[in-house]
Amino acid sequence: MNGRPVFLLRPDWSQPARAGIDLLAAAARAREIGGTVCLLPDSTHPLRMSLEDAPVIAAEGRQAAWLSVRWRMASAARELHAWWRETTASAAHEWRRELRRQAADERLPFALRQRLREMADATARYARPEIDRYPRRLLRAPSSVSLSRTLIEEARTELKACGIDEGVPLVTFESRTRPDVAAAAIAFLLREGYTVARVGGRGERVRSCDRVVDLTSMRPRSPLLELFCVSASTFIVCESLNLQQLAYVTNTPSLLINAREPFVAYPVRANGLFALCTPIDLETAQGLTIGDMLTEPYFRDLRKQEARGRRRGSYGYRDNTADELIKALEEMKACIDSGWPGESDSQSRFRARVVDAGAALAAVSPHVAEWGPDAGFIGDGRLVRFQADRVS
Amino acid sequence: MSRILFVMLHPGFIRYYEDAIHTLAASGHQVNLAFEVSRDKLGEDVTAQRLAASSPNIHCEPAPQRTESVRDFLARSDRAAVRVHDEQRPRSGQDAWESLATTVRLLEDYLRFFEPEFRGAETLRVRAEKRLPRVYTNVLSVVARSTAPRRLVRQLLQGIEAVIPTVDSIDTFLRDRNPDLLLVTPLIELGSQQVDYVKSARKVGIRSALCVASWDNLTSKGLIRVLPDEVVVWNEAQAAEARTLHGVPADRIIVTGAQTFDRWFAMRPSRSREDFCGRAGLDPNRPYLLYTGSSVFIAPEEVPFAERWLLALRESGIPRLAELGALFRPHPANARQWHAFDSSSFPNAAIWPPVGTDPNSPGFKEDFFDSVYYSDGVVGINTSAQIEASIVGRPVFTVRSPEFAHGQEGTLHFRHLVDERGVVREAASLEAHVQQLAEVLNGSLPSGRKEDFLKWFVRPHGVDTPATPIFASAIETLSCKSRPAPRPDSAGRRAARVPAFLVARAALTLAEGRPLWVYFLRPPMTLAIRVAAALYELQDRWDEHVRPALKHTRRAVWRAWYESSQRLGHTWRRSKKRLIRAARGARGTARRAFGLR
Repeated sequence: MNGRPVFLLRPDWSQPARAGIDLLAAAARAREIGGTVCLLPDSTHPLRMSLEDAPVIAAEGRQAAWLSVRWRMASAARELHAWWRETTASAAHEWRRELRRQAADERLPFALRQRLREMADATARYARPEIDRYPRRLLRAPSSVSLSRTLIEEARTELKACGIDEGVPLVTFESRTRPDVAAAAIAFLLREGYTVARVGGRGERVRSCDRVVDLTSMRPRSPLLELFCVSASTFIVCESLNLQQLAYVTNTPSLLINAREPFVAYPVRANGLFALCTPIDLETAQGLTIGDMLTEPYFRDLRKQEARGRRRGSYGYRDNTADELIKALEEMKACIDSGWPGESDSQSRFRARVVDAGAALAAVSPHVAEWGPDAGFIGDGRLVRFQADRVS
Repeated sequence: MSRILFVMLHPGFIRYYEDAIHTLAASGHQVNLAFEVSRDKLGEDVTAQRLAASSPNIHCEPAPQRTESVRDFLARSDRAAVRVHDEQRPRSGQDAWESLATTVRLLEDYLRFFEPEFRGAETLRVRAEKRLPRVYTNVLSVVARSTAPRRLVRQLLQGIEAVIPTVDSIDTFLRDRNPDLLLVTPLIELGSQQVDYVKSARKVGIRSALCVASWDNLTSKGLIRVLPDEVVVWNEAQAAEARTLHGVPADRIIVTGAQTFDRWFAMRPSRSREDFCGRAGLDPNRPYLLYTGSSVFIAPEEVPFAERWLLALRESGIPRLAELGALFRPHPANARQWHAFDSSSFPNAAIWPPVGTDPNSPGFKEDFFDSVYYSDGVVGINTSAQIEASIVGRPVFTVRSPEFAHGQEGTLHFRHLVDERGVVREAASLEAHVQQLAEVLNGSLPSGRKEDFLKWFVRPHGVDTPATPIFASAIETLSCKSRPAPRPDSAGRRAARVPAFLVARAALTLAEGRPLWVYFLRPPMTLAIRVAAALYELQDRWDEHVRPALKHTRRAVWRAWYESSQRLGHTWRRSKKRLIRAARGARGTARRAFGLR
């Protein structure tokens, strides 16, 4: 390996988006430090991707066996480390609770109670589990990822069998939104001359229609087909992070809709757009502004939901309306047609606000710490213009 | 005339028995209502005040305060809570017994969901598990899977329940009120403390009865852990549940009918259809369907489904269905989420009554009746409104949906609605549901009131025979029966309380739901903190008493030294002056004596 650092990788191909992100992050890191990526073969899953613009080596024979052992050891060590981190955080949490419990004893001298409280507060930072930050910075530059020739042929055949011919302008559409809203968006796309492939877990009833292919009803789901569909699309419309990440892997422009908060959804790549849904305060029935979605109470509610395993918090969500969706699609189309022109002032300002809010909230919200800005970088993508204009 | 004491969990249960209580009071019986928990979320406190004001024979009061309610017990094990309330409140022996009682009852309730009847009720089991301190669940979830160990644990728990003493304040409360009959409801809440009333009634010698409040009570909640003298149920289905799931002997069960639905048989619309539709925001010239919301457990996220349901109608391609109006009625205790529903984006659709309407406001019930009465059909996931709609004679529908599986096939009471005797037409998908609706509205499927269901489930003594008088008469009969002999605790039980108290102390501590190592750490930590406290105390004493005394002494010494040194200096200076003066005098005298100049 000529003394260069090697990134050993055995991506879990059963989750193509996650595997793809791991691959991209490793490639970026390898490029940064002049290392090499070594992909270990995974015989359990046929879907494989390879990198074209990063130094990749293939291990074979005894070397492959040795690297595989190394990978297993490193993997075990990583799991052990994760377990240790979780255990110590849990222990610190319990220790903190115990200190606070003791500090609540009114029979103790005030100064001692104060001291115990200070000790408890000092423990708080150990009680937080260490957070694996979403590697936004590493995903920034696109990598050229390709499937093996046989897989490409296989996918082409499958797509053709579904009714999607090669070379047609295609949009992959994934949405759990109201069927009428989805129908309006699909109608718009059809008018613009696209063929639409619907993907996703739960398929709503789709009226049979020319140039709309429903892949949601395919059982079992084909990750290869989805990946190839995304790769062959002019752009994708998605609601889940999984599909947005898959678009990073194939460097396909993406439009994420119905985002419930700006951090997770913020597109890393410049060819990404996103639209936020409208949160409704369930106590007052008032809609929240986009500015409210960058405040601590909004994320505190999310944290409460996670901590207590609740399915619902203090907010309800109204999905993007058909009009909003069409506006977003128009912007997406305009960007693709004119080669992604510079963003508006309001879009830049919104990004700066998200970065500032992310820096401020990371200390109090593990969710923001995980998904927020990575060393000040939130993404090169943008909020749809009509919403960004509303913020300013 | 008899004295009847009715202990309810909170005033919200009045609505199940309001008419029956009025009937009893009108017959001259003294009805005392005691509420364990005060509640005003849906204006229940107003209902209680209104009831008390309606007759001099009705009194409402709070039940004796418990040292630790079930809610407090659960709050202690909340791992996510950072604030410490009264964790360090000195705990009495009564606290320990209360903790043990709640723990034992929660464990029993948890175990019941491993019985074969609850095979599909995973969510009910999870709900019961969440209430248990973590330390028990790890062991029990394994043990409970086999029948023999599960039965053994249950017997052990029943043994412990028998040993737990009655609560003194409840004994005193019952003796003071001295009722001829004690009624309790609902008794079967997870970990319910109402069991203590039944136990105290036994001890004091008062007849007791459980009034089963609603159709899901015997299947979706906890057990009747200590059997009261009688159990009053709605129908034979509940009687069977009481026998098989709770072990109530058949001769202790009284079937009266569902008195809570009586008013639905007698009600008439309060306004015209045009007037109602106008107020609700629907087109009065078109028929509409009523969508009735379900409780938060059944349908935590109901709005997206309701939107899909409405769109399925509108896009069905069947003109009659597509033109139907849609009225959404949120469940009063699960209404908040409907704020997110944007009815303005659907033509001829509305939410009625508006979210946040007080269920005790005048006209609320009439509004509900009108909304059912003028509808062409009622749809819901799993709610008692479906029974009410069947009384009015409207066709009732439900749609199976994966997100509500836990609240439909995952509950036993849902089967009453949809099995062969049930009243609800179920569909496996929205498409099938739309088809069903079309057939019913076209008249190809029968609609109208299903008398068989009503006779079986609502009015077992005859569809035209109201249940309220039967219920009131059953209560009257029970209250006139001779009192059972008091059953004080046996010597054996009293003796068993000594070791049981140690278990109770352990239960009190383990209720915090902390990892075991915390409990092992606590004694040395407490000791260290006590030592530190003693040192702080010592320092405080030092600062308070010794240090000022030392300071005082130091000052006094310094002052004494200073003053004495000053005095000494003064004396010295005076002496020196005197000496000088004397010396000078002597010198003058000497000079004069020797004639020196």
